Amino acid sequence: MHADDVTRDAPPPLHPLAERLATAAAHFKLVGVSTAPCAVRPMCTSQLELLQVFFLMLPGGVWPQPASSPSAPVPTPSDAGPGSPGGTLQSSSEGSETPWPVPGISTLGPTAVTLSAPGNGTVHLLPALPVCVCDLTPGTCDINCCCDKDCYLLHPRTVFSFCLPGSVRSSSWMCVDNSLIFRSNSPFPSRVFMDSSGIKQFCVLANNSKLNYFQKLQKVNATHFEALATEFGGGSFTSTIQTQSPPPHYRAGDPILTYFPEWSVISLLRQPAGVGAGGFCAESNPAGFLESKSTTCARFFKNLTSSCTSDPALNAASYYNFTVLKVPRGMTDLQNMKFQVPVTLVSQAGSPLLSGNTCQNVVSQVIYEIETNGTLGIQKVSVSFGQTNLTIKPGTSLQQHFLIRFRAFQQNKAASLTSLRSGNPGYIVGKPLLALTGDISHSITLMKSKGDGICSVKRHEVQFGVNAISGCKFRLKKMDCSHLQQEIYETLHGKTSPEHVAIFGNADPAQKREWMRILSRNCSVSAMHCTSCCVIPVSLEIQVLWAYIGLQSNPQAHVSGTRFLYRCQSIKDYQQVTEVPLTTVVTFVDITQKPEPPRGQPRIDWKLPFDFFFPFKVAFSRGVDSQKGSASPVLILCLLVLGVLKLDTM
Amino acid sequence: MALYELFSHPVERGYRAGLCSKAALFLLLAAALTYIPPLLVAFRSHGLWLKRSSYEEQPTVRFQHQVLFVALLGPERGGFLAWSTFPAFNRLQGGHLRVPLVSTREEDRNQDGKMDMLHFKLELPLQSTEHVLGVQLILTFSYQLHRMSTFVMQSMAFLQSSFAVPGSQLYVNGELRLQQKQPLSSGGLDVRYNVSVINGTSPFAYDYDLTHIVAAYQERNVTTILLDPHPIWLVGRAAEAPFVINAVIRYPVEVISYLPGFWEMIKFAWIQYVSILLIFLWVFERIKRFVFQNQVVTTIPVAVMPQGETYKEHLS
Repeated sequence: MHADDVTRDAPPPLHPLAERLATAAAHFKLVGVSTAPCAVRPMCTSQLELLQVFFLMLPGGVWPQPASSPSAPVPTPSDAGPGSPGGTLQSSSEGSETPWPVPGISTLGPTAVTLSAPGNGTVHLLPALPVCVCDLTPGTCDINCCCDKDCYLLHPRTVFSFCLPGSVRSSSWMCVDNSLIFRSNSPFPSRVFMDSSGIKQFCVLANNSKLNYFQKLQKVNATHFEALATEFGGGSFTSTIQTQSPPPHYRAGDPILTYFPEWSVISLLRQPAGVGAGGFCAESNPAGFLESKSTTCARFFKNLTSSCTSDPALNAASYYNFTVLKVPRGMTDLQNMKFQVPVTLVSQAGSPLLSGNTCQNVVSQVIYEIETNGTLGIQKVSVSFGQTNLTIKPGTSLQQHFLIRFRAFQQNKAASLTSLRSGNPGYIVGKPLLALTGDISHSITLMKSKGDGICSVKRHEVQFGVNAISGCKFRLKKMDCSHLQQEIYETLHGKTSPEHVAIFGNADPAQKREWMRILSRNCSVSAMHCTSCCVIPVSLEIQVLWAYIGLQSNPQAHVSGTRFLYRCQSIKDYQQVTEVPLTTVVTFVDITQKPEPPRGQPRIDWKLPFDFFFPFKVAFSRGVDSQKGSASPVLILCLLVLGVLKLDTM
Repeated sequence: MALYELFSHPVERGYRAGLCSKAALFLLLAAALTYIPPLLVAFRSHGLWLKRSSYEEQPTVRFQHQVLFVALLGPERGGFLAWSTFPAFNRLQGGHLRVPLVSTREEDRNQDGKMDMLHFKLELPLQSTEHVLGVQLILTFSYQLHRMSTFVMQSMAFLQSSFAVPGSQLYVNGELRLQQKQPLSSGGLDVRYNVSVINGTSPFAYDYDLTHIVAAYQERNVTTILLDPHPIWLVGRAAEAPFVINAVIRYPVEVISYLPGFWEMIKFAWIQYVSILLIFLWVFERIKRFVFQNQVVTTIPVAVMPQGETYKEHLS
């Protein structure tokens, strides 16, 4: 048979055909189809079946690249197959034209191989490689380097225990399980290898320059250097430094520029903030335009005696000895005072003074008030200070507060300060709970204890929605019982007793119907026949019932009711007792009534049919997300319906 | 005109023999070999009975507003400050009692009626000479599961953290995870662990001892732990600032293992048995057909006619 002849007279090993495995595969097919007289019919069919299996397997397991690569020449079986006499000749002539730097086939490295008959003819040990990668010591024989010419070995393998990778010719083989191949009459070098697990593999040498070699290097020049770097580059450590011309005006969050005329230096308006694990002041933290913020940070002094007068952070002057640029554009013309605003001092602040063992006039609080006017930028900047005295001792520390408030230009100052809303209209979680005493609006507070556990003058604002507990020890003073009671009540609820609470976060003190009376129950003074006894309140529980109202998609929290509950205790010989522990508790109770869930949505407490149609639900919901997936469940449904119909007809 | 086979149906054929014949014995044997070996195969290949299964559920967790807090002070020895929401414990502390400001908020992020996280903040006022080197904190929760069995327990989150440098703040952002030593049952009510973690009514110091609390808690087969891989200890406290514990505790969806109920077990065993049985049925059907067609056992073949036709034959 012709096809068989082609197989036997396998083309010479120097066959340089740059063709894909597809061609080789095509040969097998042709063998299967055209091999002649099948004496036994079942034999022929089984062979064809095998070949089919081979073809089914190819795309998944064997091919290193998709078959239909447009650049790869894929000759049709008719013009390259062994069936046409000119096929091999033609392709070899083609091949001789293509440059093939490593002609020929050689062994596949040191792995022991079992060779089958058709592959035997292809094994050739060729003289030394043109490039010997392991020849690292010129003039000396490198051990196990089979291509080193300095070794003067005809058969290096006899001396070396193995050949280093790269010192023998490598070639890439495409393998399928040997049992799938009935007979190969391919003109291409093929062999049967035994792999590590003892399975015989039939391999064809992939002899395609396009597949075996790296692609041509791209020319790099100045014009497409950047393009290539961005196309192929991943992440790297290069930092991008932006250099931009100053924008015409500030936008929210932009750092605010300042100018020190004394040194002609442009800087940023700073709002020191605590940073890192230490919470130490990060001096150069910039303030953001229109971002009213308050920061706190701690300073520690090694030697306060020297830093008292020298540390600029303690000196009020360092917080206003500059001008603020109205708009960033002002950077370009620093001499023009039109673009600059001086920082005005609201109250006089002295500079630090060392007197004896104290450092006086140390800045503990800085408040900037900045008035802005749209794109015209900053119109007015004023600063006020809080100052304190520090005693000089080792390890002195100071906590500084920085507050920057932005306000629209010409806005009523009083209005902007007093009526801070806790929400509009519904309360926002974490905002203070508003109360009204007489006509004055304030927030409900809890007492706090000082470092030694004694009740502090500072108080903690009750935040909406946040349950809290606090307590302190109250020092009893020598006074009569009614005064004592009065003082303890003041400690519990604050200096002013709240009478009303705001229903919504935007309640107006003038509108009485926006406020609700607080249910308050003082201790019932039980008449006890005890002259030295005094009934004093020891705890206050503030209970706030609140609920969401309005649209479910836009819920607004409102207070439905508030109760102040005092618990009292009768103490004997109150003139002798020195300390009484006091407790205040705030509890927020959500009494929101949720509407019935819409029909079709199973409720959470339904146990049974909760996920009865789960797989369908998942499949269809995915189908909605991406239209691709929707076909398969529909198909399954169709099949199901068809199946049911078929059952009926039977 | 070419003819096509449009319809076909098999013809049934009967084989008659006595009840004590070889054929009957063969059929009995075949039936035994068809139905029993699949059961053995299913059983011996393990996993016939589903002994443990799991499901997902977000627990209903509520913070019980019980706190027990101990701050360890340094550098001098033995210094500590303690506080709890239990009056008896506070009475026991005497001079070491320092009442902090505690604020908590539970948040239901997705508005599904189940809380998703707890924001907890504790501010402990300190004197300038006091330095916190370590803290121990117990928070208690009520923990409920509903989907399979109704499981109710009172659990705790225990947080212990210390650092060599005096701290100003401890930041914790973790999850309250369920720890199971045994599977839950598939139904019914389980209130084994619906007992308080800390016996707040007891006046004895023993009941507030952390080792005792933790030991009793670990005796349980189902517990919760606070899983926080990255507690952050911030240092650098200004003289007048309080020590702050800032904690965010999330209540995540849990994978809960449970003992499957009777019908669930039967269902999975049935699937396995039937799938193996089908192969045996097919094989033995072939064997039986071969045996009867080739008269390996002696029987009398009869063509079974449809009912109507036999009736007609009798008439004629």
